[in-house]
Amino acid sequence: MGALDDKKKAAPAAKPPAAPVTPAPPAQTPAPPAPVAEPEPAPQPVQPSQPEPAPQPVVPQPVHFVSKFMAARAASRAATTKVEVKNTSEVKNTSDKETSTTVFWLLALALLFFDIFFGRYATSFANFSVWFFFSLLYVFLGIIWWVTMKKDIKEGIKISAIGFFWPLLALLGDFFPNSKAAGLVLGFIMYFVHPYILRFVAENPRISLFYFLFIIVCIYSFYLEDVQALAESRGIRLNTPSFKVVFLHYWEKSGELMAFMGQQLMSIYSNTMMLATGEGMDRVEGEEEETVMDLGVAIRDVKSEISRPKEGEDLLITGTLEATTIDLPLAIAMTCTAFTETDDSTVAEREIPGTLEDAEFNLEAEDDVQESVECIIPGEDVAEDFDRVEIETKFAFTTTTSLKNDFIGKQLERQVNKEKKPLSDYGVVNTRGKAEFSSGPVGIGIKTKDAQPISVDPAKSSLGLPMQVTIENIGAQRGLIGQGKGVVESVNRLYVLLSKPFALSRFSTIQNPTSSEGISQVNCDSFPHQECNDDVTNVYDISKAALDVYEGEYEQGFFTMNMRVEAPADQILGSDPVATHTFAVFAEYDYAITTKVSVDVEKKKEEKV
Amino acid sequence: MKRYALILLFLVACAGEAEITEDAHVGSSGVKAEYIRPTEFVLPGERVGFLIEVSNDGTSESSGAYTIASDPLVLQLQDPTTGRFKLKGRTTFTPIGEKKVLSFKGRVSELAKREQTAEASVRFNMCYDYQTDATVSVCVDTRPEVDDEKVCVPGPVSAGGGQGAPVGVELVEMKLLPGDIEGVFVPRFTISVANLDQGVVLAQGIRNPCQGKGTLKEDFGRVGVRATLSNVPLQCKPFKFNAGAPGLNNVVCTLPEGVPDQPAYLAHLTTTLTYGYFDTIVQSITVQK
Repeated sequence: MGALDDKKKAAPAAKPPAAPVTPAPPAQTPAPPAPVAEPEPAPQPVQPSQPEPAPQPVVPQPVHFVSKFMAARAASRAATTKVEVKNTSEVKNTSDKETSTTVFWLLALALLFFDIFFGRYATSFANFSVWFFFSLLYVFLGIIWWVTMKKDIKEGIKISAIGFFWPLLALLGDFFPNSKAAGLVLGFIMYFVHPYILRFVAENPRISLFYFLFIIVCIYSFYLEDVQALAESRGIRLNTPSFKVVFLHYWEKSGELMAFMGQQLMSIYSNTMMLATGEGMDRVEGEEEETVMDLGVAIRDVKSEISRPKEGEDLLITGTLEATTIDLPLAIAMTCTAFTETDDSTVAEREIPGTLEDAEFNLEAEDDVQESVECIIPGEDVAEDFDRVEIETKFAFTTTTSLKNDFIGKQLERQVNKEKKPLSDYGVVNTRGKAEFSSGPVGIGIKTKDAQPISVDPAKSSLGLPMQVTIENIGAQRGLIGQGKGVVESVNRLYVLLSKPFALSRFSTIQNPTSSEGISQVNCDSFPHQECNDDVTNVYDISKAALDVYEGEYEQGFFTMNMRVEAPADQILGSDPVATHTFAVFAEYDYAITTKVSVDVEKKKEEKV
Repeated sequence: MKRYALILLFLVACAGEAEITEDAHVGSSGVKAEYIRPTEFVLPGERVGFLIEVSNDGTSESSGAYTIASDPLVLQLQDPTTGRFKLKGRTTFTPIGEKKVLSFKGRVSELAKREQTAEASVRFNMCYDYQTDATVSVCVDTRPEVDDEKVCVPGPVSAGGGQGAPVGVELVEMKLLPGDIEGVFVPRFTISVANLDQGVVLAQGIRNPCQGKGTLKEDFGRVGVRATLSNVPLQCKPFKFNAGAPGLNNVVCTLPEGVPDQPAYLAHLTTTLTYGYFDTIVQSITVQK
């Protein structure tokens, strides 16, 4: 209660100076906040003589849409439900329960007000004992409420049980100050339950005021820190609650929340569409860095030289191959095959090998070529059932990606956040949690934790982090491979570079992987792609044998490999309050581009004899 | 001619002395660090140096520890990357605090051929002890109901602007409470304290953030308080910064033996705060081919 005392004593600071000497100044005792207008505690019971199968829309005046809703509901009920005639004693019993419900609400409200303004607000959640006491109280009240729900009472009151627990969920927000996901869930619950509250308010107008106040308090609680910051920025001292500030902020935040949820819904919709078209599922986002050089292979302008060849006429397919390398040589192999069409699924289509002028292209490092491609299908194979020509271009490629993670001591992070100081002042600059990958037909994303910086608790023996690596085929989607469809045929090798002291502790389902499982730790000398230093880097070589577990997933356009990295907690920060550790992945894979050209062969006219 | 030169020298010396009689206990800085001619762009494989000037801009003598770090995959700093310092503060007669220039060396990693740039932050962290000495005049008036001509009027005393330290006394309020003995009043002071600089307040002697050790929750914000009223020690409650609390943090000190009933008079309230302080400066470097 120390902070609470301080807070209480801070209040007189703004008052006029030094009062005359008086015994035991009353300012010492905590002044009750009592911003709640005294509600009518004893409402008139519901008229027992009216069975009211469809309640008339006696609604709180300002909520016009509620009355519309109720009118529609009443009409619906009248049409579809039987009129239940209860005897007078039953109705009276329900009314009594409703009255006791009202008293219950009053009690809950009073306690919540007391909790927030004295316990949470004044101590800024520092006083755990106060919080804990009220938590127990809520649990107790919740149990009583649940027991009463077992009785036969009105549906609206039952629904209100949800409403009772809904705002309390907002209090959980304090435990996830940096979690967008938790915020989203809470926001979703808030808006999801809102129609039920309106319905309940419409059915129970006598306690609508209490509900309304209850919501205000909970919203106040939900946005407490933001409200305080806003009030301070506007020069308002929030020693006493300012509902004006709260409401203003509520509307601002509600707008933001609605916009955010709209974006999320749009995103869900587009992801669903992507899933339906085979392009998307859960995946780790990657981000292409702006300064990379373009490298890779593309096939362009593939076409038949004769737009409608005649039967038996030689067919020439032409195109252009473009390829750029930077650090590694590149071997490209091409094939050209023609296919016949058939309407009968029992008859297999026939493959006709074409002849390529050049079937192989070898590029050195830092090479840039543009070659013409010519494929000839001999005339004897160009028949009436001729369908298409496919040019397949295969090559082995390497794509790299890296993710910088910033780590900070747990208590220091809390303190800096408490003081509302920017983490960048302490050198925490990598807070996006997004990997950057080099150009090529696939993108690679690495994800550890969304909430950066990552907290380190030195009291624990080790820190483990999930590391997801997603390989996504982005070649066709981003127009990187030119004309055609690209596919990752196989991932042949993966190098995982972890900044020391991090070590790979799991790959897929393999715990503490070893060389017998196709995963081995190697020296920097055995790592071909980049200079590295064994003193600061752990390098892992993941062979094709270990990667084959994902083989069936290549065709879906992307796949995610789940790994785990660990480090002794006391070594992560070294001697520093904030440390950066980089995780990098180098993927070696085979890629194939298939470019199709449809050819409509003109039937040869039969000569009249 | 020699005589004129001596007179001129005497005048210049006097003029200089007039300038340094300013009160040193102003400002909100403690120990500050600054990169000297910071290097923003570096080449792959280059050996680079960093010069950092650490100066005591406050009024207290300070000893502390430092550490410098970066992303080891981009920049490998050479040992020693940690050390200690002890710097004298400003006084009325030495208006500039002691300074020290620290030098660090490192080697920039080579970039992969397909990499064009890489970035890293070089962080210099300091953990040091500091002390705030604040003296304000307070009006003690045991007879507020008497309307005679008084030497002072009681009221809150503002001490804003800092006292030459990162933690400062902002406001002092006094209340006179009736004592156990009739005719004796117990003064109770509410001293509002604020963290005026960019860093984080720690308990005195704590260097953990600069040694990679975990810092206990109770070591954050813990400030030692001593106060006297006209050289008579006051009893102060243990004080800890509540960083999350809006507004100022308050220390409460009382004089249990009280003051006798007498006409209003001015007294000096001297407050001494002792604490540790953690601060960081950051410089970004870009590796470019």
